Amino acid sequence: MWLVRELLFHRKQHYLNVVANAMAVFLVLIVSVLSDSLTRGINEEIGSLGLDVTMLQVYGEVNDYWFEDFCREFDIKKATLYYSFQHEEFSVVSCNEKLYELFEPELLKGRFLNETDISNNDNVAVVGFDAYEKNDRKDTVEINGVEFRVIGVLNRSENNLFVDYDSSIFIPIGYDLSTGVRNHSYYYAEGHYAEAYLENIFGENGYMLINQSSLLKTTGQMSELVRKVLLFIASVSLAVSMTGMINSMLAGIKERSYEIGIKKVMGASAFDVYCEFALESFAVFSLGLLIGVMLVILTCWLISSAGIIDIHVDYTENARLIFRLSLVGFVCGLYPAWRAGRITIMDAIRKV
Amino acid sequence: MIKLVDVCRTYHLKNQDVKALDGISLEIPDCSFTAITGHSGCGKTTLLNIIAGYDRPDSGLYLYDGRLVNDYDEQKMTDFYRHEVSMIFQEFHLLPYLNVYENIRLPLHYQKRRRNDKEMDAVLEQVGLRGYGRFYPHQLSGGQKQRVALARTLVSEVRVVLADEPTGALDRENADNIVKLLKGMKEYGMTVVLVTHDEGIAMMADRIITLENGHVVS
Ligand SMILES: Nc1ncnc2c1ncn2[C@@H]1O[C@H](COP(=O)(O)OP(=O)(O)OP(=O)(O)O)[C@@H](O)[C@H]1O
Ligand SMILES: [Mg+2]
Repeated sequence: MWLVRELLFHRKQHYLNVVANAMAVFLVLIVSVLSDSLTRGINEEIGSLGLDVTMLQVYGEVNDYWFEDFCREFDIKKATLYYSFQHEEFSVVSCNEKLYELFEPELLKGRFLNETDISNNDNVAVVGFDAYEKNDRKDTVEINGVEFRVIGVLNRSENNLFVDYDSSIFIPIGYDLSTGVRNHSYYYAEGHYAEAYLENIFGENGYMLINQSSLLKTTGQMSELVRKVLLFIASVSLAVSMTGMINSMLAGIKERSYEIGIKKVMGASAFDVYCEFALESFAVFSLGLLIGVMLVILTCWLISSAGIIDIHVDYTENARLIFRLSLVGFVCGLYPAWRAGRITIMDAIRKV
Repeated sequence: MIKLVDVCRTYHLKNQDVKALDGISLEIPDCSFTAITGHSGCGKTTLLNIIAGYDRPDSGLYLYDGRLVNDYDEQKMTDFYRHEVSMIFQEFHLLPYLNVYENIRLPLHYQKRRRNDKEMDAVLEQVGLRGYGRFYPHQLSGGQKQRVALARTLVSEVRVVLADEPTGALDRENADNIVKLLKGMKEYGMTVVLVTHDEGIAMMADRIITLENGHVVS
C-alpha cells in the first residue's frame, strides 16, 4: 500500500499532530476514568456506612416532650435521642440503650449500656477506642468531677458520618453534666424528613436534618459536576489540538500541491485525492488516539499499583468515548481533505 | 484528432492583461508527431495546458475527436486525464516516496487496471531502465527520471502525449534519446506534441508549429 509510504514520507509534518492528539485524548480519557473511579470511591465510602439514618440536630434549649409525639406522628419505630457536649478532647454522649440498636457499634470488649444502667442512672460508661487510649486504658473515667466505671470499649470505626465514635464517651442519659451549650440530637431511622413539622416546632434555623441518602445524592451531584467541568476542559484541549491538526494539514496540502498535481495528471479525481487525505489524517489521528489510550492504561496501572485510588474502568462507557473521539478526528480530517481534492493541476503547476 | 478554433487565453494581472494566446487555430491529426516552437513567453506552455485540459480557453473552441472539451464537467475531465492525454514535464514530476515501479503504476491505479512487475519490466526495458524498478527518484539521474516519466506515460496507454520541454534539463545525448522514445510512441498509436526550443529536435517532428506572441505563424 503506497499510501503508507506517502504517510511515512511526510511523517515530519505529523509528529507534532500525533503528540498533540495523544495528549488531548489522554486528558479526556484520564479525566473520564479518574473522576469515575473517584466518584465511585466516595459513593462506596458513604454507602459502606450501610445505614439509612437521619440525624436531627436541634440547637439551643428545648424540652423533649415533643419527641414521642413526633415518632408517633410519623410512625418512626427506631429512634433515640441523646445529648452531646465537649469535655476536654472527648465528646460526651448521654444516651440510652437504643443508640446501640440503631448503630450497632462493634465492641472490643465488655458491653454497651443496657436498660438497667439507664434506669438506675449508674455511673457507668462505654468509651470509644481513641478515648480509651487517651485515658491510658484505665477502667474509670472522670467527667466534670464525676467518676464513671468503664464497662465497654468500642472497636475503632472510621466509617461514621454523624458521630466520631472513636473519641466519644457514652454515659446514661440521666446525667446532665454539661457546662456550656448542649447539642440535642435525635437519630431516627427510615429517612423521614417531616421538615414542615420540625420547622413548626423549632423555627427555620433551629434544627438541621442530615440524611445519609441525601448526602450520597449531593456528593454524587457534586462529583458529577466536577467531572463535567474537567471533561469540558479536556475537550477544550482536544478542540485546540484538532484546530492545530486541521491547520497543519492545510499547510501541508499547500506544500504538497505538487504531489496532488501529479496525481491528478495521472488521472486521480478530486474524490480520489479527498479519500487519500481523509485516510491519511485519520491514520494520524488514530495513531495519536492509540498512544493516548496506551498512556491512559499505563497511568491507570501506575496509579492503582501505587495504591493511590482504586481504578475502576467502565469499558463500554470509555469505548463509547473513544469511538466518539475517533469520530471527531475523522470529521476534522474531512475539511483539509476536501481542500486537497479541490486543488487543480494548474494550481499545482503554478506552484512549482 | 485535436482541433482548436480561434482559442484565446488572457491572464489577468493586477494592472495589466497578458494575452498569452490570441486566436489560435490548429489541427493535430492522430498518430502524428508535432513540435511547437517559438520564443520564450510566446504562449507554448499555455497552449499545451489547454490541449491537456488543465486550463480552459477564455474564448474559442477546443474539439477533441469532435467533442467540445470546453463543456466537460469535472467527471469528464477526470476521465479525459485518465484515458486520453498525459503530460511530460521538464521537471520529471515523479512522486518522491514511490519507487520506479510504483511511480509507473500510478496511472494504472487511477484507471483501476492492474499490471504485474514483469509487464512493468518490459516497459522499463523499452526505455532502457531495465533493473531500475526498485530505485527511488532521488537515486536516478535527470535523464533516467525523464525516462521513468515516459514509461509511466506508455503504461497509461493514453492517446495523446504532451511534452513541455522534456529535454530542457538534459544533455544532448539524453535529449536525443528521449525524443527518439517520444517519436517511437507513434507506433503505439499515440499522438505526440512536443514543445521545444531546440531547432534540431524540432526537425525530427512530422510538423512544426511556430508561435509568436500568441499567434500561429507557421
Ligand atoms: N499564471 C500566469 N499568470 C500570468 N501570466 C502568465 C501566467 N502564465 C503565463 N503567463 C504569461 O503568458 C505568456 C505566455 O506564457 P507561457 O508560459 O505560455 O510561455 P512559453 O512559451 O511557455 O515560454 P517558455 O518558452 O519560456 O516556457 C507570458 O507572457 C507569461 O508572462
Ligand atoms: Mg513554457
